[in-house]
Amino acid sequence: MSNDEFDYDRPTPIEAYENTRRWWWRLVWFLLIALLLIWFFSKEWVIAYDDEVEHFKYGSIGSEGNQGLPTPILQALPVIYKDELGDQGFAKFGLIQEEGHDLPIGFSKRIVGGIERAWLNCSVCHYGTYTLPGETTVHTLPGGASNDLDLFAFIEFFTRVGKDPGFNTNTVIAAINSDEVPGNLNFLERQLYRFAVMPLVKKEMLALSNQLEFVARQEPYGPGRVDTFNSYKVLQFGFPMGPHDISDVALNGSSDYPSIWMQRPRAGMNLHWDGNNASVTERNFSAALGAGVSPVTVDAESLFRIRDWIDTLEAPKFPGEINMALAETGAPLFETHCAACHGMGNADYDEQLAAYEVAMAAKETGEDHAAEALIKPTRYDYDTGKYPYLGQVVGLEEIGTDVGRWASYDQDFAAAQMGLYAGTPYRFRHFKKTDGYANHPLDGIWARSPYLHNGSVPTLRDLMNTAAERPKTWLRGARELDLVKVGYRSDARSGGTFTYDTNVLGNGNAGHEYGTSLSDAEKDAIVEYMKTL
Amino acid sequence: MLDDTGPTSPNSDHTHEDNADVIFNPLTFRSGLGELKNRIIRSNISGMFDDYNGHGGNARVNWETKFAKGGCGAIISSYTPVTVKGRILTRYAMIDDDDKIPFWEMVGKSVHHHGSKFIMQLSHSGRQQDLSGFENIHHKVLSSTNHKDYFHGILCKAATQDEIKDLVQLFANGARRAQQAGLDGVELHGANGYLITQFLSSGINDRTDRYGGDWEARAQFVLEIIRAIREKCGQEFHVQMKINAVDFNSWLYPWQKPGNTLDETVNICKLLMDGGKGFDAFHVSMGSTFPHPTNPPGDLPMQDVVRWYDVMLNQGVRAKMNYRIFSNWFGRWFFHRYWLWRRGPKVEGIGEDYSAVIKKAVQEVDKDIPVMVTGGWQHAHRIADAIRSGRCDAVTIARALIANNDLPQILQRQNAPDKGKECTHCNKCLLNDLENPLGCYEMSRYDGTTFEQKYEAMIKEVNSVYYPPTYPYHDVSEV
Amino acid sequence: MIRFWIWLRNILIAVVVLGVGGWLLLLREVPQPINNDPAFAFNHGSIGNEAAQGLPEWIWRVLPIVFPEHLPGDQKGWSALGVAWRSGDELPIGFSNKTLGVIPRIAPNCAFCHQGTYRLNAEDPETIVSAGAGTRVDVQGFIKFLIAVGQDDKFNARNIMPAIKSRVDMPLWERVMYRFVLIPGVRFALKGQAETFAWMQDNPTWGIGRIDPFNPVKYTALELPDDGTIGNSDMMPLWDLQAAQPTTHRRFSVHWDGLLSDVHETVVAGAIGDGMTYKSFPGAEENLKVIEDFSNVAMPPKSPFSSDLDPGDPFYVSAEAVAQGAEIYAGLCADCHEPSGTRFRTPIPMVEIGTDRHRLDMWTAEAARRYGNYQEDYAWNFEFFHKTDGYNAVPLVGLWLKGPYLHNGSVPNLAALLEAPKDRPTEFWRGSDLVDPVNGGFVSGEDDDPLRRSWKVDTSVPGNANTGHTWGTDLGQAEKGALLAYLKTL
Repeated sequence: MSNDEFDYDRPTPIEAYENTRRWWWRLVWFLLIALLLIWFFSKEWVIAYDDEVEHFKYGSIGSEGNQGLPTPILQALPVIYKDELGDQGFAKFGLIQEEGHDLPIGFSKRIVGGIERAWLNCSVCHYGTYTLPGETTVHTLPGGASNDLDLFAFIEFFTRVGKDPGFNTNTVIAAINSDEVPGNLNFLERQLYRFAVMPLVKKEMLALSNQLEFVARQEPYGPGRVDTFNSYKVLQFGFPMGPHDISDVALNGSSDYPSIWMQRPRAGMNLHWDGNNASVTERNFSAALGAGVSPVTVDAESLFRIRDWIDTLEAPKFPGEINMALAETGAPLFETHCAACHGMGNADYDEQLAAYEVAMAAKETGEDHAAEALIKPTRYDYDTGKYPYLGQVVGLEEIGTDVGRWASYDQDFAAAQMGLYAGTPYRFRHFKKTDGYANHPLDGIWARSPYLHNGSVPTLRDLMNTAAERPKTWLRGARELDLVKVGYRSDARSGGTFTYDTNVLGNGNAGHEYGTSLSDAEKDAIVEYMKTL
Repeated sequence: MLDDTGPTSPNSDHTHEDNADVIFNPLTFRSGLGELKNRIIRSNISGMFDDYNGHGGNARVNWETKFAKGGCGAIISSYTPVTVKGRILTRYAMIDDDDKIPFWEMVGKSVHHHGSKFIMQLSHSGRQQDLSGFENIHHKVLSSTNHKDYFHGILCKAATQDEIKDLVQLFANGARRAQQAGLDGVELHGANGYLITQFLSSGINDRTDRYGGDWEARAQFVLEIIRAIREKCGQEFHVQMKINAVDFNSWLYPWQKPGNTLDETVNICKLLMDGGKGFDAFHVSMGSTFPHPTNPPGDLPMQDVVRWYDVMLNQGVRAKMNYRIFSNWFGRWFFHRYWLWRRGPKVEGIGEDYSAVIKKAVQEVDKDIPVMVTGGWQHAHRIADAIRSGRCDAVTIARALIANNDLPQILQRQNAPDKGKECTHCNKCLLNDLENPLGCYEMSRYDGTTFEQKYEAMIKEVNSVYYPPTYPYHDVSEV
Repeated sequence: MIRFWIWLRNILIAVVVLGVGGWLLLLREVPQPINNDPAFAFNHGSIGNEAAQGLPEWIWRVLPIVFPEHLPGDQKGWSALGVAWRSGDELPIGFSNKTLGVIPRIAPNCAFCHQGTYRLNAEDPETIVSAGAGTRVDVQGFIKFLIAVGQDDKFNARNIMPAIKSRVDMPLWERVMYRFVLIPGVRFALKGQAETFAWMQDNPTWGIGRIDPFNPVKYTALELPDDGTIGNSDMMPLWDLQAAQPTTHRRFSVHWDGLLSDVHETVVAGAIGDGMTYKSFPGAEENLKVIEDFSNVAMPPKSPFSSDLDPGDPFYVSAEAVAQGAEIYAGLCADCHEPSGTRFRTPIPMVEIGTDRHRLDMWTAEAARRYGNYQEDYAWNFEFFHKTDGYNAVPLVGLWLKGPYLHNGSVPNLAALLEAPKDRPTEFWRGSDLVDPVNGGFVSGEDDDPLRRSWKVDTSVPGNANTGHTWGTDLGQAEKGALLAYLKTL
């Protein structure tokens, strides 16, 4: 009499039919809901900025989905680590907090996978500031070099947080729900943070911390500098970075943030300090990886928008008085000693501009005009035909500047870069190992202090001296300009925060001794001329 | 597990013969009912066998006669409405008019012919009107309260005092008709959530007039009925009361009030004895709804719930929600577990501990008032133990008798039905009753080696209530 | 019974659908995009071994990122194998990308071994040489990497998919294929590699720039038992094979021991050795033709050694020395090494040449017979497999890029080769592509080139003997200097 002989609860034919149909309906609902969820979690939302500068400062380039933290967690960090950062929060790292924004310049937000995350964009490193002597007004240079950003301290802080047991669900929730962070987590959100968000964030940050362990062995970059490629090697390619895997020279490849204005004329020149790539687009996509995007999360459209903007972004004009008579005596000297490699100011700019305006007006009205007159003139002359070495690489032996940055970009890395963005139209094709450092145009050079690729010489006037005469140790991180020697002040009262020692690996100030044999008056004249660039 | 089927008693203290002696020891009532030949009473149960308007049919006679033949000491009729407005299901024979008397006379005779007594259960659904029938769809049923039934959401309205007077008279007239039909007595259905429970229960009765309030007030309605019956039928006529020992009114929704406790029930019983002029016996049940996890205790056959609950979709405002729960795999699973959890582990003799208290209290006042108890009885040793230990004087059985109409005869010779033939308390009879002839729908009990064979046997058994048919076959040519 | 036939029918339908579907998804050959540059075709053209050796593109791309610890040398990407990666190419030289079904597969091709780079100064970026001698390539390192990866329990979708997903935005169907078909499939295949190459464990390490060229084929395709032979020898550049094409009255030998005397058969047999089958041959035939044509005309870059340079230049050689060396060369070397010489590209008998004989003994008559009759159901028509008794006299074109020297790379530079065997270095380091301006060849000291991985050659190890080839060793110092100067300019 066992019950398992057959099914006493046999469904009736109608029930069987309906059961089958019910399964189909379940399937349909399941698929519909799955599609809806997939749609929701795969769709991303960003804040769009109409203004190009705002887009540059706060617009997303796609780093959030790769390395970003949920915005509230990012905002909670200065609260959790108040002992360390003090009241200024992230500003301690030289980040600039503007009124009306809840994150500093250089942070953008994006909703990825249903959660708003925030992380870096281009402007974190390419946003300069300065003050004039005797003034406190802070002037900004979008597209300039972030002279006070201490990325080393920033990375060090995050790697420490990643390993800190004090960074956990409880402290994060407490910090988010404190008054210092906008927004509160309700019960449901707290559970979400406890069981989904925080374990993932902890895991990701710990992994990042472990990958970036080698940073502790590097010499501190100091404000305004970054070691671009060593982190890149690990994060993109998993290159081993142990003490035996990389020489101390290659480990210390710190260099100044470059300005990124007037990029269109630079197309075809060897970009980056060592000239490892001649494609502006590729350079941009590579730099975006440094800001945290991945080939999957990158927002190409956003990058192209920034490229269009920096293509024609004018270099800023010198904010102080220029002794035009002196500058005019400097111009031929500059032409003799510097222009072949660096190009120089466009002496015919005013005439060309007038002609351009006439031609544009003619075009408007449909009158005859010369087609070449429609090309907008630039204040700087980037003509590589005229200046044969402009944009070319000069061998190490010849240029003689510090080798660290050159050594950090090695052949294996260049090779591996060829596989980046594979499967997309942006796959890297132009990276190459070079034998030295590249010559760059000097537009807006007054705003690009300190000088040389590693920022080892504080002012233009110092650069005109032999290496032996250049300052050995000085202070970085000041905002006030020295309008005479041209460059940020670096003396004890300048407000600089970081002692730059040229004897430290990667910090050498040797080389590039062009023009050092001129007389002081000639040097002054060249410097005065460079103010006009 | 003890094997409690077969001829011997698993109770080592008593042989089966001892147990049979206890069960088959006649029970004497003070009323005109006189003596029952044994302590097994067919509890009130019924199928929808009759004419729609309440006139009884041949199947009803067959139905009640089955159990008389089977040897029950007494048979309590099914739920017999005293008015069409108080029916619970359609096609139940009623006692709402004198024109029903001849039919009941016929039933009584048939039962008496086989040596059983017949007690008519007088009933009014109140708000627990499961299938109202077309007669009732345009008015709300009367109850003690305006609050709808919480299980199916059946709407109702509180009876006015005038209406209560009419209700009392309906019961009294029903009793009079039973007496006229020569039946042995009547039972007021004061249990399981029907109208009288709706007055008695503190969980349901929210009246502020003299019929509501403390237990005395709530019992006022029954007291008036028994007095009215006595007035019409005299002191000799047997009148008993089916009553909830405990209401467990919050079984489904924990936020409902719990209803009457055992103490209140004991007090109510003593009150209803009315100084010797009240009820002649008490019939103890449980649960302020029907069905209720504790009554009829057992399983809840969810497949049958889904198949047959549909007739109630238009009866209550919560029925559709219930049906959605029942027809959803999770809701079904959950409701089933919930039901079993609310029932507890005990099935057979589930009410015996409550009846023991009631019996003790009642018989302290008047030792001639027997107390019978319902609830899953099927084994001789369990029944005998209950009677022997003074927990009750008799047991009432419904489902085990549907499974084995001759259960009294079986218990006379052995402890329980043969293995595989026992009532499983699956409650499939209960659910099928909503749309099908009442009978045992537990397929595993039937003979056969295939599904089809067993199903055939089941059809035959269930439909046996229609035999002999109203018009037996005879060869016309021979006339 | 009917039910049985219905089942059978359904199973058959399923088999056919799965088979056809699998073929369409995973095996159907999609021709590579046409590229008119023969050097590109040589470096990246398919040789039909994708089905046997091709890794799905994205597994290939992330393998060195997920498993750097199994890579040799500096463990920095595929470059750790010593393969060069030309700017602009999607793959390092020596890898082809051909789509089978819907999945691009990356497989090694001829250029994996036959590539080269050189540097004249330590800081110079490398200059890539087509069809070179694989000076820096670690073939065994590649095999060991794949074996180690296949045996690593981390080789599963849980570890590999995140790396893939962070680098490419794959559609769902492709992710599903990678997760459930390709990654487990590759793992299974790589696990089998350990057994295939078990024989390698008992043999001396091949080392950078060297390979045991025929033992792998012997033990797999030719089904010969492990005979314990050692075939370790330098990889050869594939330059100027035109000179090896038969003339009306003689054939020229190829391979170190001249085991083949036909360039076309060498190319086809080489592709078979790398995993081509008769099934993939039709799809690869055209590419093999291009590869053959390219190696017929490919020439090494002109030697940097020149008498036209400033005398202070390290690569300056005096015109007189070169002229004198040329004379010595014509008398002493040209008969064997000049295409016009009578013994050019013929095996020089063992007793005469006296170099390490392991490579010669590795190739057996039975192997030659079996390769000649390889896969009887397909007409490869191999005619020119032999067993010889000596080492082939090879051309010296691009000699400055062919170091170390002798077939087994046992002599670090040209200067050492002109020394008597007992005076040649017994240990040195190979693996650099920095030209040694003094001795000819590449620098060979332990720390001469910190930017490159080096591997120590110990001439006492079996197969590494630096004996034999004593021509020129008895010349005077001045004559040796002159001959060296001339050889550097070849």
